[in-house]
Amino acid sequence: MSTNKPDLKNKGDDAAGMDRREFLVTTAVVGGGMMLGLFSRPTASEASSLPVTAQPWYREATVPEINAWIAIAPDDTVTIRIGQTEIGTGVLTCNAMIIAEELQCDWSKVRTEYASANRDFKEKAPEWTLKVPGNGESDPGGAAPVELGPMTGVYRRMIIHSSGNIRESRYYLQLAGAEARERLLLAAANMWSVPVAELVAKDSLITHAKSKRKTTYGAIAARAATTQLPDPSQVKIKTPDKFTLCGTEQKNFDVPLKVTGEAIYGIDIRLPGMLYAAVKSCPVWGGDVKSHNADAIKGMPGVHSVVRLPYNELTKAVDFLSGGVAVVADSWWHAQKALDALPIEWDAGRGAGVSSKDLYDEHVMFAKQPGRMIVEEGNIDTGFGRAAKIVEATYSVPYSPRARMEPGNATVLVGDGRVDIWSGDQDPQGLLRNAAMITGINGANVYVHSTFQGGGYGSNGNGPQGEQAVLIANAVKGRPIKMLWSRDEDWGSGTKYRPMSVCILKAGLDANGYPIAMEVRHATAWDLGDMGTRGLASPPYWMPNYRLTIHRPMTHVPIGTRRGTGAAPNAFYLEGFIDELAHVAGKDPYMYRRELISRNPVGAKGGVGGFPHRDDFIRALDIAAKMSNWGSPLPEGWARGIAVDDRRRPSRTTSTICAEVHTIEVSKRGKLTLHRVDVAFEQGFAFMHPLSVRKQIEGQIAWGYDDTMYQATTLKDGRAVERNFDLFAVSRMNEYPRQVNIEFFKSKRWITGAGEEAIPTIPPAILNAVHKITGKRLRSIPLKDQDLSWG
Amino acid sequence: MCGGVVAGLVVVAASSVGAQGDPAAGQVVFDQKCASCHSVAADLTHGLLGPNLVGVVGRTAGTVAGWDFSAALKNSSTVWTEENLNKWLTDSTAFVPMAQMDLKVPSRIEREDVISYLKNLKPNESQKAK
Amino acid sequence: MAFTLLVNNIPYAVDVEPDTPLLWVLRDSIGLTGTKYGCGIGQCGACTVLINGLAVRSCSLPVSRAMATPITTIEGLSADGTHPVQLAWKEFDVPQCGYCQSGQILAAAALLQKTPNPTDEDIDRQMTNACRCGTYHRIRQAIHRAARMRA
Repeated sequence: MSTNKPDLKNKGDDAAGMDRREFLVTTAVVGGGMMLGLFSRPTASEASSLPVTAQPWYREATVPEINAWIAIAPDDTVTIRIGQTEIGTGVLTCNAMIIAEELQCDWSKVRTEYASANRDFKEKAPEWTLKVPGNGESDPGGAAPVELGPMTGVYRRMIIHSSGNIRESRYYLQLAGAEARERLLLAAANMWSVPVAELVAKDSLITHAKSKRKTTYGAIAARAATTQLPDPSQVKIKTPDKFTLCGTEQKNFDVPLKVTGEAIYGIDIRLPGMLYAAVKSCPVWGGDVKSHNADAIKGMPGVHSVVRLPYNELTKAVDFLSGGVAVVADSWWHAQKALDALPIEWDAGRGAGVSSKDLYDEHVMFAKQPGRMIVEEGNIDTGFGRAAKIVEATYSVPYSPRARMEPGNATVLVGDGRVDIWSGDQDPQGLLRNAAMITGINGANVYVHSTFQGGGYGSNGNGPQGEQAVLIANAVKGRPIKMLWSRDEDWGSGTKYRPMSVCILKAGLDANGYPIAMEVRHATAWDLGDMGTRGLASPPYWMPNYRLTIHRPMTHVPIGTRRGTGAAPNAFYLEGFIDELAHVAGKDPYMYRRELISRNPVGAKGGVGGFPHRDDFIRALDIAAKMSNWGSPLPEGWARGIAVDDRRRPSRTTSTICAEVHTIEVSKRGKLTLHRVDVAFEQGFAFMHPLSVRKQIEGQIAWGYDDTMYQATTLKDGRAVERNFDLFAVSRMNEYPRQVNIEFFKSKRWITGAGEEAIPTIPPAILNAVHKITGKRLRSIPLKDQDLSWG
Repeated sequence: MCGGVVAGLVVVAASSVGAQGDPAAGQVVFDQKCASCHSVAADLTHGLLGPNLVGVVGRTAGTVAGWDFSAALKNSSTVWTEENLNKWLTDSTAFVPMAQMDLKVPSRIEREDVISYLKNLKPNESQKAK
Repeated sequence: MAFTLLVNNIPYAVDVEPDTPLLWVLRDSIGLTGTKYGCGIGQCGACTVLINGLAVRSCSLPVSRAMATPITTIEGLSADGTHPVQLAWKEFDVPQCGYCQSGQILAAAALLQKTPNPTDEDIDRQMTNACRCGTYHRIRQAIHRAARMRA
């Protein structure tokens, strides 16, 4: 069952308790030698032929490798390497499907493991794979715009974020599978001295019908490994109409391990001689330790050492959010207890005393001052001058953490000239580079062994937990150090936040209630690319005069991405405001949106200020409205709210359109129940892994609901107030809507993704319905402290 | 409060907290937030990490038999009126510092619901224990 | 202090302070890592184990109070992943990141033991574990399926 066999004679401070033959690392690595095939002994799971092992990290292939992605054993077992970590979106299975689709191997004999970030550091991708085939996003043989730029290592994009796995990786995964297939065919053709064109490859079998000869992938693999194509740039990838595996319902490989408790997450790593570290960083970000008294705890049970985590140029460069202290001990419980008893005085820095009210007021102030022009169409002042009615509203969202279930952790061993890291990290390549920077050891000698990950929801790694662990291990060399944040540390001090923002919207309506001018002033600290402008830069609602300005207050709160990214707050603002306008106009909000979207010209340009997806937006609205029986009677206290968004952004035309109708009830006391959600979701040309897309949407409903109802990080004295599940609520089974309907619609393009595209429409749809029932127009989330009572 | 209040006089609030609550919804809150520690078994057995709460509304804190309360709660002389329960559940260690229970229930509606649920518990009714 | 814990029908000798939460004894002393740490204050359920068939949050239970009562962790629910709840979980492909799922599965097993034919209301009341990936939709379906399998 568990691959870690429990130690019956455990003495409490012996951190081993597992099968020593499996982890051969310590002596060899500490001694400076580099051992290949470190973890080569098969685990119990491998022996039982599950497609992925409980310890899913890379192993050097002991069988012929056709290319860096694919190794084939004599019995036809195909090992496929997966670049991104599995955070629950299904990449471990989906990316294997994409490769297997082209490879045309026996899917029942595919197993996956994580690719090696170290190998990616040392080895470049073949030059011919850097060119994206086809003619762009509207070509079934093409790809949605990729942003792979500097990711030219052999495993290309190992970061998982931005809903971008399929978008960014599909084409080169297809090329990898196709190239391998062609080399297997060529090897067989050479062996039999026949033209390749006469051979057929299917389900790991190569047949030559003419001579009635056949061979298996396993039998020909060694030959294929040394057979090169004369011109690999001629390799073509399949178009979706040729797919036989992609797009079918396939169960996820990791599920059987996750229902038995076998799957190893970063927090589960156990190694001989391992010590544990608990960390506290200054809860006011940007601050540091003023003083601490290690002597006070030296005598506490199991304490090994105390390590200072500085906040200096180096640690800032690797994403530390403040300075702190780590206690290293023989168990995590001992470490955390000693840490809690450790006297620490903080120097809070410039964030001291800041409250979220202060920050909100500052955002409002900034929004009212001149900002940076992003879009100016027509002349809004003229438009306002001609308007029959002016509507103005101020919306806002709070700071929001990612709030993963698995608290930040990493296990690191810094040996003589080598670093090994065990971690579930959204950015293993970034972690490798940062580890090299911290230790001064060349990246070629830094190894990241990827584990399963208990939630992602962010980007750029999950915060500096990996980097902190490296720093501590660098101070306590020669022993593996497992650094684990307490929940309090993870949610309160360690993570970055989706920023608070304030949006002032103003519209001038004509006599029919349609906008002839709109001004949007968005105050947000979000300086990551175009986060603050996404969606708002190109509203789908046509109006002749439009202006968007961005206003940037600077705060000490660390900002990062979070599931939904810029689209989440921006769609909340736009979809809430457009609903207000519909109400003022006395028109149905679905028809009002439909009318305004249909006023866009056909063939509108993309990018800032343009809007090219008119017809598909209308389709999405129509499908969602029909699914939900929009307009049909509901009991008293019930209502439907509608919203549409596609997470579009100025820098690329492709997106994923999603329209949702939320059917809610609000009791007179003000208790909200979400009864039913209807989702119309764009499929584009094809999904690769429809089961996971469906799961993602189902899950995003809970996520968006929580954002709407409960979740915020507020600040008091410069620090996060909500540090655990008591104040930061996560809804449970009983609040999940009893009815969820999802309908996919095809369109003539490759979409951006499905990991977060159903989120932005949720808060506005719910708040729009709240208004219908209560008459209260609420313009900020979460709702938990607001009074929804009515009647 | 005017200066003429006599110590020990119980002032009844105009509308009690639990009166607005929905006991059925309160049972859900109890199951989610309280049941991992407390019990509402009809036979008055205590929970794993907290005392049995049947009859708690109106009881003096720290007095129910068979439970090892913290000194803080025993010495608090708090009576579990609905209003005090409401404050306790808002932030337990702010209301009684050094109490063992460290919980915050920020939702007014949830507090009203669970207080109304507890109010309606009777010792001789069998409860659906978790 | 020396304790003997009976976990998945196996006696384990451990030597830890009596107030060490059972969760950390299971994970770090014994090496059963299927039970997860999510919050440490009994509010999320990732640490759920079964004690005498009841779902208990092991992060809040001092190990001294867990002696001599049979403890079941996710590893002990079945020998090979064939408990009806586990089979149903696989049929509906319930887990996403999977971190909360050990607790969810044990809570579901406890629910079905007590209430073999749960209604949606029963499920709402008894399944209080948090899931950040939002797998509730499939959990509900899988519980109904597991109930039918057990029948």
